[in-house]
Amino acid sequence: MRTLVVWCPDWPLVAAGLEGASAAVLRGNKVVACSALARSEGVRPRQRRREAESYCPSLVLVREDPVRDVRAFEPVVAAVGEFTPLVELTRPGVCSLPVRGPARYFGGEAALVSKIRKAVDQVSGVTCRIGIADTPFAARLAARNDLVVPCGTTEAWLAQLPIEVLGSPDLVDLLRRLGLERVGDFTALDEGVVGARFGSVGVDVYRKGRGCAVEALQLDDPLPDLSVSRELEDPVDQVETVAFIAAAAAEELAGRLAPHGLACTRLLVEASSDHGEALSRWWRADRPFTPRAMVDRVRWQLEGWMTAGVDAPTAGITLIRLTAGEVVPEEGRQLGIFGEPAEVRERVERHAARIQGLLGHDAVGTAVLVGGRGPAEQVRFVPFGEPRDEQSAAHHQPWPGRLPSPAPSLVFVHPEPVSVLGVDGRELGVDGRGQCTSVPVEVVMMGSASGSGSGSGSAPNPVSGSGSAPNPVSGSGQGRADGRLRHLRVVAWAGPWPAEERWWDVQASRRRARFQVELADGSAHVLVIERGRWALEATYD
Amino acid sequence: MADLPGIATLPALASERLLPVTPPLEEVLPQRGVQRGSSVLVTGRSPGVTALALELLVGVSTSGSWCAVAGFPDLGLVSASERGLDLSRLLLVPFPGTRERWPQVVAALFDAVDAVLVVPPASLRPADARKLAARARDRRSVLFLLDKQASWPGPVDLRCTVASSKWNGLGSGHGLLRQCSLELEVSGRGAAARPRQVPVLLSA
Repeated sequence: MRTLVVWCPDWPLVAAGLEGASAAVLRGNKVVACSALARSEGVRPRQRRREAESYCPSLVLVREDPVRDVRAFEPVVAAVGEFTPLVELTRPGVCSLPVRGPARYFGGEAALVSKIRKAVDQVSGVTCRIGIADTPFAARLAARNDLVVPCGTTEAWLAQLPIEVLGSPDLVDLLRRLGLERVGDFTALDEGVVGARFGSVGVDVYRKGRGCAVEALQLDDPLPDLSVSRELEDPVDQVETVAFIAAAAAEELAGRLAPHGLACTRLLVEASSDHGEALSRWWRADRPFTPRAMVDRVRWQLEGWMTAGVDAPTAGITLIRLTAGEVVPEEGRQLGIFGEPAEVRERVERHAARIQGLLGHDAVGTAVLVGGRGPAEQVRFVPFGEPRDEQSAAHHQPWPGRLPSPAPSLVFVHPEPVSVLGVDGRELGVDGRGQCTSVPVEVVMMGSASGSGSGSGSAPNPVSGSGSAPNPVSGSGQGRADGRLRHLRVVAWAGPWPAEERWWDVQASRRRARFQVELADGSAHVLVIERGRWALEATYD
Repeated sequence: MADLPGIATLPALASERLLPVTPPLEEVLPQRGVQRGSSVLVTGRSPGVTALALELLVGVSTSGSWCAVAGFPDLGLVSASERGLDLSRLLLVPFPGTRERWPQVVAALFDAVDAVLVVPPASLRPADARKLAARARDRRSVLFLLDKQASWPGPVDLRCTVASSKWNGLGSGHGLLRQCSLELEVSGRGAAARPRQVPVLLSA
């Protein structure tokens, strides 16, 4: 099918507003896109961050954000959509459309190209490149060169291109070693021979090279309106009543998506009261929302809002609106891969989200083990609903200076300062070579032993470091600082485990050494010394 | 008979009511498992109380159930993971809110998971404590209470007290903490009515 492809070069940078600077977009530690200015300095995709920075020290770096790219590309798609409703979005920055109808209507391919170019320039200020060829694949290649390949000459045009344009790096590498340098060298072979030697993968690539369409354009209707709202004539102050009305809206929203085989994974719930107070919140699920799950979100949000106290609405609810923020192909609801029944997972998700509605998004979560030396550094708290990228590999790699397992069962959010005395009655130190200046004999700590203050959340800060309010009841009430000092004899000890971190970075470098001690009262602890100060970091309990 | 659908043998019925425990604790619990819907208080002033509570939770986690920990920001999660707790099925609520929210949040956890480990705040009202125990019974979940001062103002079905404990493995300037040998006192209702003393060896 004759296809027109609109390509806006370096789209991720345009979306980030950095196309004029020397800038690059990073995924993890690798460059995925860079601006023309950065490219002229030698920055290339797939370079490591440090390598790119060495080419261009003033390089501005931003994280990859597909959502940002898509959002910024939306006006371009809409502008192209003025010419035909059958626009297919390949990826942010690239969209394609079947060219036959529009070209006839707008007075030929050349005229259509210049009209689209002008329209895109108007909405985004970007000079796009446009290619037309007989297949979508060839049209994408043509767009790189801003070229209209005349009808029927696509195969000949493809034949003179270097073989790398076919993609499939493994196959292309092999073909190149076989001495085939141009697409034409490959497509001159017999299809049956190619199939016998390279299998179906080879045939697909071969057909692409011959200019046979192996992919069809998805001729979807434009997406339906993804927002459903209900206005209430009489203000309602009962959560259940609003939820009942929201249920109909949720069914309608799901009903609009379903004919397109879509479901939503991100939902905006907006509510406003008769006095104009409004609360909107994005809800995200890692699996598509069912109508019932949408209603649950509405209920929790309203429950949290209406019982908030200070910020609670002063009048009944008059408007409720549900908007699908992100849609994915609906693949049906399945059992968990590892045999966990879907209902169990759903039950946990539902109630975890309910608690998040009460306490805030960061208040509920799971933990992921990550790399690190100190007991507290080896754990990362992930709010529920956010992806748990398991980096257990990093955790199990060797971390020199980490205390060997078993790990302590209490790790204090705020380590308590202590002092450790040596044989000579002076404070114990650790020298530059990681040797103790003496033998630990006595530990002096404040108030009652922390060993008996079980899990006393002495600190009002959440593990995640943000969110929820200070919490006066979380402690077990055992006063830690009653002013008296406790002197405890060291019964047994081991160490030091010196840990030198980020020595290359003056600001962030830390030198610490850890000790295991068992004290006369039977408790066992991890003590850490940093810059001559001791702290009780963790307790074996 | 047991293979026929709809027919369950008596032991199978009993095991459905029980959540498993790890081997070191099998001798400790009167039914070699934790009864669903019950509340278990873990207490004692000697070290090893947290290890014991974690070990109880590990048994539930290894059977594939979800667990939750509420009000325990200082819990050592590396230790939990080393004992065999599946962190991907462990819900954490480090700060379950103030006096009014606390019972609401913990009650919601019983709806979500099969076992909840709670560090109760000192100011908990007896009425709230009773409600929570009833909620656990109602949802057939287990309420594990980690409470060194034993200040929990409600009833419990089983009480495990660490009477004394001793660390093994650490020398003077060498070695590494390996294990903790605990002397437990177990008492409670029903099968556990007669108090018993049991020695247990747990990893540090």
